[in-house]
Amino acid sequence: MSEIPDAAQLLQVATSGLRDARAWRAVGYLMTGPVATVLMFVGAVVTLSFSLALCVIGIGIPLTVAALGFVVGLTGIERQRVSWLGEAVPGRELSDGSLIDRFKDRNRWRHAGFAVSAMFPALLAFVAVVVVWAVPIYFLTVPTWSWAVDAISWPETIGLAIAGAGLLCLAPWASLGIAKLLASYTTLAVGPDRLAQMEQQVTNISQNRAEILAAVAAERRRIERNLHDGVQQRLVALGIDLGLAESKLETDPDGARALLDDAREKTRASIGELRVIGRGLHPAILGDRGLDAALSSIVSDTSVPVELRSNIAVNPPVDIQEAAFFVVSEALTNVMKHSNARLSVVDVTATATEVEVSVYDDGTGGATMTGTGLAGISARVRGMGGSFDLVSPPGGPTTVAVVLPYDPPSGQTGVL
Amino acid sequence: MRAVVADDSVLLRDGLVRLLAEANVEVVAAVGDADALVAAVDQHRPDLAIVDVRMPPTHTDEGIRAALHLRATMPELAILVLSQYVEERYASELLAGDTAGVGYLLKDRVVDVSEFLETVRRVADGGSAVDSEVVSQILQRSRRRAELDRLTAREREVLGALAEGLSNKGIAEKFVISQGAVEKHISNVFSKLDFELEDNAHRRVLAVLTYLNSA
Repeated sequence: MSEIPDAAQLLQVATSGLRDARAWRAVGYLMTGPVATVLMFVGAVVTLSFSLALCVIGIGIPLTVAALGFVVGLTGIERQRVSWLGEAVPGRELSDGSLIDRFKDRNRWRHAGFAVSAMFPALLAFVAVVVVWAVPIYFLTVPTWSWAVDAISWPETIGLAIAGAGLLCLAPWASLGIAKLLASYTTLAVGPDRLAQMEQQVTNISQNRAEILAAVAAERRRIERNLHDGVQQRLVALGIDLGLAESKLETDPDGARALLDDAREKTRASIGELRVIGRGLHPAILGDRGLDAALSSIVSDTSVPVELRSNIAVNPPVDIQEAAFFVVSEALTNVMKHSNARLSVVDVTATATEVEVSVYDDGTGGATMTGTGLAGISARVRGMGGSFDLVSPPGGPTTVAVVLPYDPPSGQTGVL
Repeated sequence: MRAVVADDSVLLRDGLVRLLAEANVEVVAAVGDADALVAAVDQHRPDLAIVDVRMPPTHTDEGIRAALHLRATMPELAILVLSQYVEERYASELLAGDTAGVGYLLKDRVVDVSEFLETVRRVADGGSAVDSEVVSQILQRSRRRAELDRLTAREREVLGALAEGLSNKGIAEKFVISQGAVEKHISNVFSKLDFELEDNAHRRVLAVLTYLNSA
């Protein structure tokens, strides 16, 4: 059952605008507009015309570039003024380059154009906001003098007063609207270049995609290598054992038996090898028991002693777990193969928002991105919106540090 | 017979040495890379070299290049190249020119001990050997479709066996038919395909392969 709003409540709502601080700040922004923009206009015109005039002799060019810099600073002040309404308008990137490049930079001249033109909308807005307040105030003051004037009757006076009150209540919102309109001019003129930002993002994504594809290809080659060097060779040797055993069955049964024992040993070794390769691809234990267990399993199977410090408060999402596992596995392989280290430390910390992985070894350092599978991890990690750092001065020690956020921050490539 | 074995896998080297010992082939050196192979051949002057295609450092074609080098510098040396995969290009490089005492086999063949040892003997005696996998790929890809279609199934098999480097006797044993039958098949094949053939087993290999690879 809704209550019929009483007069007091209606009054509250109506006058809420007058009590809103934002509205008053908007009024302040608009009232100071003309002064600020005129000063900006003068500053820009004086410096630019002086320096442009000197362009006939060489010195004008660097002077103009300096003047443009000054103008950009002035527009920066105007951008800051918009913070009265909420947030300041962010600037846009200006290209750095040779003097001539900066002289010809369209963006800088765009700032100059704004500096010179901004006072016109500011003046209009000023007039508008004055009207928006002056009219209702005037109406409200009518009763004070209308009694002296015959032309205006009492009903008209009261009508005007009421209208004035109403308009006064609307004035704050109108002011806010006008202020926002004026600010949008600033944003459009000298605010961030959305198009350039998106173009940059597309470039970043394409590059990352190329890196990921290369990493995937390299990984496939690596798998082929592991299978070829390990399992296939073993199976051929196994076949020889069996072939020889077969040929000796009648003539030399003891010899045949020895060969069959050998064959069984080779079979066992092949199975083990396949298990290791499978674990490098996707460890089953990761799915069964989680990251901690999976890490313990690789860390125990190494030629260099590895200390595992795992701080897993919350189990991360599955794809992050896999990536973290893969980082450790790859980094440890490098430690075993290239570092001549005596000790390695694997540090894995999982919080509610991200996983940090670092693999340290006290070996000979000098690790680079090529030929070590690190390029692959790096591309994969960055493709997930994470970060990758390699510190490996010659002589060591080496640290590989990776951060994997759960939800990639917006504006980054969150695509694997 | 004295042989040198070159393969980067210790397991496989061991296996080959044992295998060859069964056939009373003396392995005078077993090495793991191309440079060691050339040095060993130089030092021991064996009758036969068994070489893996892929060896350190790049694991691509070190074996083939060493084999070609040895062909040029020591033509009387018989060379059998073993490969994990059918690398047709390497096979054709090896077989270009003189095919006497040259062979290209998949490592899989090694597992069939008696057949492998047969092939080793054949190559060491100056014959040739082309893996049947390689031959069947060449047959499949050959643009001589029309001519090949004129052959019967058995004739096509005989053609394949010729390309592998088998002698008439070898073909007879392989298909368990008489040598007379083999000779008949061979002459049918060549009249249907319309080209001249010699009796010499290893020269036949090159002739057949050349024929099949042309259009």
